[in-house]
Amino acid sequence: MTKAEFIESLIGSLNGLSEDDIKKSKDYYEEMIDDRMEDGIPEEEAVSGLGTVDEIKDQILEEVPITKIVKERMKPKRALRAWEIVLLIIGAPLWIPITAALIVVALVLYLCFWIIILALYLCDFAVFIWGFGVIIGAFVQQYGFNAGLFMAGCGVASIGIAILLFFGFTKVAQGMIFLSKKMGLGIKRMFVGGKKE
Amino acid sequence: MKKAVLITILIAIGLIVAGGAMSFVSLAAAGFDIKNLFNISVSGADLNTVDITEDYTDLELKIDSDSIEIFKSSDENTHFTYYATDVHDYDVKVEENTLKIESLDKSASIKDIFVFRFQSEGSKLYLPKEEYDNFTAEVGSGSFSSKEEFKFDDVELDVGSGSIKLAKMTAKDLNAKTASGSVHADSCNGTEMSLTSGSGSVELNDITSDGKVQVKSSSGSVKAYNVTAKTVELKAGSGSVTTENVTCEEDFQVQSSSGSLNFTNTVSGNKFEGKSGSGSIHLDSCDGADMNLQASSGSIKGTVKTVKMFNGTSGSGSVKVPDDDPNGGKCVLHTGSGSIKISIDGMEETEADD
Repeated sequence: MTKAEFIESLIGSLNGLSEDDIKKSKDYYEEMIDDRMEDGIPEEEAVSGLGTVDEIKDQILEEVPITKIVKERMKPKRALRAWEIVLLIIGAPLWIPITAALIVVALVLYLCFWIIILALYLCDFAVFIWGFGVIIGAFVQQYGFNAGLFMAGCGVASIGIAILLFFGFTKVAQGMIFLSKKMGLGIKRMFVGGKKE
Repeated sequence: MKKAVLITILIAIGLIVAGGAMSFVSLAAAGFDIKNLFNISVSGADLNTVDITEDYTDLELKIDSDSIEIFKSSDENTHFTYYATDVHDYDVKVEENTLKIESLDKSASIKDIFVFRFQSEGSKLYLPKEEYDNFTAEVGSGSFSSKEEFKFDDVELDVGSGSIKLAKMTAKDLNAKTASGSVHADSCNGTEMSLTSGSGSVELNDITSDGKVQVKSSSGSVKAYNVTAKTVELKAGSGSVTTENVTCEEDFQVQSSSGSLNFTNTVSGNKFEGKSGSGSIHLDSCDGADMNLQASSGSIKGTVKTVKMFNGTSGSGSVKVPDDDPNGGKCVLHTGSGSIKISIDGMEETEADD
């Protein structure tokens, strides 16, 4: 693929982003290909070395906030005709609640996602604190040495479990964040697209 | 994996192993019985008996955390047996003609946070007489049981978390409630009876009352067998209601938010009301002068004893009721979504649709 073909394909795939964003991306990748060619790399090799258009599109989309993409997509490209305005007004009782509901659902899902992560760490913290509490209890309890030893053992083991859980939960949180990024990218892809490589 | 993370994980595993070993050794020393470890258990507690020779007419029990059973004394005195521990004891005395038994919490320090309470075999109260005036009992956590023949004027039982079992008890006014636990009343007599459970079932067997029998359960079933009373009122939040051989001189009223109603040989002299939120209603040889059965969503089926003026309506189902007969009472049946099929005992079904 030549530089011109690549840039044309990239611009097509970014259809839906603002003109500014498309231009920035176009300039950036043009410059990158030029630099590689100046270093003596053949044109096709310099292009293929950047990755596929889809891969680059994903990288660009990751950087652009979803709100900006939606805003750009919803912006009318021309003045609305009279019948379109009338249709919008007539359909308002239907599309406004549906849009509002979709926004609320998206917000709730987003909140749930972070609440789950927060809950995991809070559970871990609780186990950790409980461990210390039971160790303190082992020294002030009144049931004798064996009971104290049992409590101290439970406390020490709890602290160990809490430490292990911290690493486990961190992995879970990382996985969930990765998943959410992928989902966000998928949503962005729904708004942005056009010609493909 | 970074070295610091690896070291931290190894430390964590070390703590788990060390902690597990400490707990294992201490448990082994206690014969692998956690109750032995915290010597508040029955075997570690002292069995105390308090003998009371004074006479009294009323009883007042205030128990924090223990089960209590009432028995007949084998002699002329009152006896109270319980397990005393380092942190829990009882104050037993007769004052103002009242036997007062009250929990004493002896602990009042930071150590109390780490007090472990295990359910013991419970306390036992042996009463010398069969008849008393008033009996009040407040139990925080533990069951209450009285299975021998006693007679009281007023009985007021309030249990926080535990079951109530009553048998052969006679009381003019019997009021028993538990926030979390079942209530059983067997062979009891009285004028007014009120049995309530927050989250447990309530069951009545062989009950006779001159007045009203009132039963409520927020999230459990209600069962009433062989009950005779002036009026009966049964309410279940999210459980079914079952009655068998229930006779009411006046009104019989049953309600359930989300459970079925099953009536067998249940008869009332006046109102016979059954309301179900989302459950079916089944009648078997039931009767009442003024019957009214309503289900929001469920069928109403079964048999009644005598002829009536029937009025059956269903939002989305078939209605099959016997022919109207002005010589009997009336029977109103309604369901939001379900069929209605009622017939009269010993008579062939009619095809008359309302």
